[in-house]
Amino acid sequence: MASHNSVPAGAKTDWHPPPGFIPVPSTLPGVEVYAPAPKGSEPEQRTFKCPSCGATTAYSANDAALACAHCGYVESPDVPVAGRQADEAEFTLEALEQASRGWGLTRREIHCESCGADLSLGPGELATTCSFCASHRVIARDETHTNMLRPNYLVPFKIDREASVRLVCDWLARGWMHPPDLRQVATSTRLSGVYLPFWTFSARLDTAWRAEVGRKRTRTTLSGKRKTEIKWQWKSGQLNVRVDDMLTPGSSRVSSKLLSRLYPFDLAVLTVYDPAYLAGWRAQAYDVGLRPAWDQARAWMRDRAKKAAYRDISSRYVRNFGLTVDMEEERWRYVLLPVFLAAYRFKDKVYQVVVNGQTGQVAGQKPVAWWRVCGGLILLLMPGLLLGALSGLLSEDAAGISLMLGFGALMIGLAMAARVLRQALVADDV
Amino acid sequence: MMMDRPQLVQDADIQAIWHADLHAVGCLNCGVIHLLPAGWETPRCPACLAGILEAQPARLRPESPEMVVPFSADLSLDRLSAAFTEWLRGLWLRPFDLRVESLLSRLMRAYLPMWLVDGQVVGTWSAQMGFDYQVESTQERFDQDRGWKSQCLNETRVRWEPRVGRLTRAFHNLALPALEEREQAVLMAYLGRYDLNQAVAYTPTAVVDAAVRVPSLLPDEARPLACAAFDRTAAADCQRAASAQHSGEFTLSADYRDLNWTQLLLPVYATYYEDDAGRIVPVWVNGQSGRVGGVRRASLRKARRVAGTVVLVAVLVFLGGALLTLLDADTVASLLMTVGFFMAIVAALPVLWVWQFNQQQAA
Repeated sequence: MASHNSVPAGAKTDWHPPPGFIPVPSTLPGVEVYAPAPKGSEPEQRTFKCPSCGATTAYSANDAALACAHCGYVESPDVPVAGRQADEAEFTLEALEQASRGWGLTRREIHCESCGADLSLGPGELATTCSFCASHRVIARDETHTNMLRPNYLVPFKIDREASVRLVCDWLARGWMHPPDLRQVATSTRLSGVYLPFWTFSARLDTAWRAEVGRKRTRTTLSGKRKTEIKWQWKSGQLNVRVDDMLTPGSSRVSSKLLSRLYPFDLAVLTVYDPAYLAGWRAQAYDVGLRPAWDQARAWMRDRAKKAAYRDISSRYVRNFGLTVDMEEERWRYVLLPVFLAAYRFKDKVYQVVVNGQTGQVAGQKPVAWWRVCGGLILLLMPGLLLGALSGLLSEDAAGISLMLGFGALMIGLAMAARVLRQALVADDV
Repeated sequence: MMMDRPQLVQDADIQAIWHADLHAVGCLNCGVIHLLPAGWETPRCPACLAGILEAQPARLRPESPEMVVPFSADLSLDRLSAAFTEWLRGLWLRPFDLRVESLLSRLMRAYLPMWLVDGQVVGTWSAQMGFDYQVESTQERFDQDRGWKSQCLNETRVRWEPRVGRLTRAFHNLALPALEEREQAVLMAYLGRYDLNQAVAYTPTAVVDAAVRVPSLLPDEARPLACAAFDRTAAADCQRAASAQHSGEFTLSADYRDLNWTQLLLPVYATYYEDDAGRIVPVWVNGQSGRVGGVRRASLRKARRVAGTVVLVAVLVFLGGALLTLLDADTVASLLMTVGFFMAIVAALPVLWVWQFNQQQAA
């Protein structure tokens, strides 16, 4: 029965919305609607200049602040540390759809206000340095990809380039099974600090299992023999498995196997994303979308739930095992983590090295000098073989002792050789 | 056209305002004022159905009603008969007067008044608005033979966000009660909802054969109800304006301006029956939907009569049993005496049921 007509705005003209509220579209005439302003409404790009001398500033890992190399000016980003309590997002269909768009393959042109040059950013790059005037700029908002997810949090670099180079040199020089001339390569290795995209996933796994569980029991038969048999019984159980902040790489450009060797990152210092942290560093946006990353993480989580269920069963004898995992409170974050990347060429082959920019953990590919490994294996097996051969030359009593010692030494040598061989294969496989 | 308070109006003025041959009468029993058309035969009050009507001036607004919900043409005597039959279904031991034929023979057409209020609301509002969103969840199943199988489940959740704003809206024809709160509530509980979208503009022909109840709640007294109705409508509008699916904690600080009051008439059939004690019990029928409402009383007199009959039979059976005892037919005798005893106990049930049923109806 009620009808509504709009009338021109009249009284209450002195009213103002609360601070931080902005007008939003209203579907009805005569009703104005204000909503809290979205976070991160910032300029398209930010350039970092020293307010003191005008030179370019960059984020310094040593100072944990924006620093000017010319005049020593230091300015800490005014950004709170959120830590592990940092907001996590739900798997909304909107976010999944948004994350699936990615950056595409287009390069973007941005204009340098310092020298007027037009700069080109590669797909997914969030920060760059002008090749002409060396000013640092960070894409705070990309007009062409406004629907793309933005990183919410990051872990700032704690290790500077020089320290990371030293760590890589030490790492390359370490180990007897690698070529000796690798030490010379180490001095010429160039590292670049990059914020790499990662997804963090958390979930509660409500797990219910059902299986036939066997218990071994021994009984005496009528003929008086003792017989061991397994008695099978259907059992079921429920358990909750909690997974917090599981890291999954958001970049396909660096081997995930290599990156997994950099873990753990200390997410207790997770900081609200601020472009200042990216000044002077490279930063990469994700190219592994939320859904494929979540699929990976989920596969890992469900296997963990399965292992937990098997532990819950506490019997070696299990058959017809079935499991249901209800994922609850699934949450994710898109974060940037600090990594130094380097590639070096050795004998016409390219090898990758990565350094955790927070903890200094180094991982990478190192060529294996197989002739050294073979030498090592021979050395390990030699004592046993020599003692065995020696037994033929000795008297009967001494030969027996020598044979026993030789056998023991050979067994130990074989075990150690197997371990060395495994290490070499792993080093070669990265 | 506006005036703050309705004025006492004489019959001649009523006819000029309503353009119909109506005269004002008051009930000596309940004090309710009605406008009756010429030729209205029954002297019974269409409100309490017990009192006798006599002429007296009415307090009326100086304009005729704006809208009328017409009596449904589908409500024939057959339909009404079926509605009464349905209403009486399950009522065992009715008073002698509570019959479909009696109810039909006493039907009166009447209109109940409602206020229609127009006004402008100017103010500021704030609320928590709820927006639906979909979340994807996963269920994983593992089977030793078939391995892992994933199933995606979509779940709707509500995201609550604060919204504030200004409102300058004119609202038309919000329907408000024009009777005292309790009476309005009771009547509406009996009659159910009216589809106000079917209301048509008032024409004098609408009231030629129906009594019209005069509002007992004046516009001044109904103003708080009007403000509350404006607030509710404004809340719904703000929710729509914000494109939200839910809202909560709505607060409105507003001026309510240019209030204009007119009347809406709702059709009702009034009838009655007499209970055991000869008291008049009104029965109402929604003139649009045909829904029947009112107090259904069971007859204590009939219950007593049934109980008495059962007791009499029980005594006879018991005595028969006692007689057989003298004739040494012990087994049959004890059986009859037991049956008689239980019949005597069961005889109280009709009275108890009627008492309990009437208590429920009174509540």
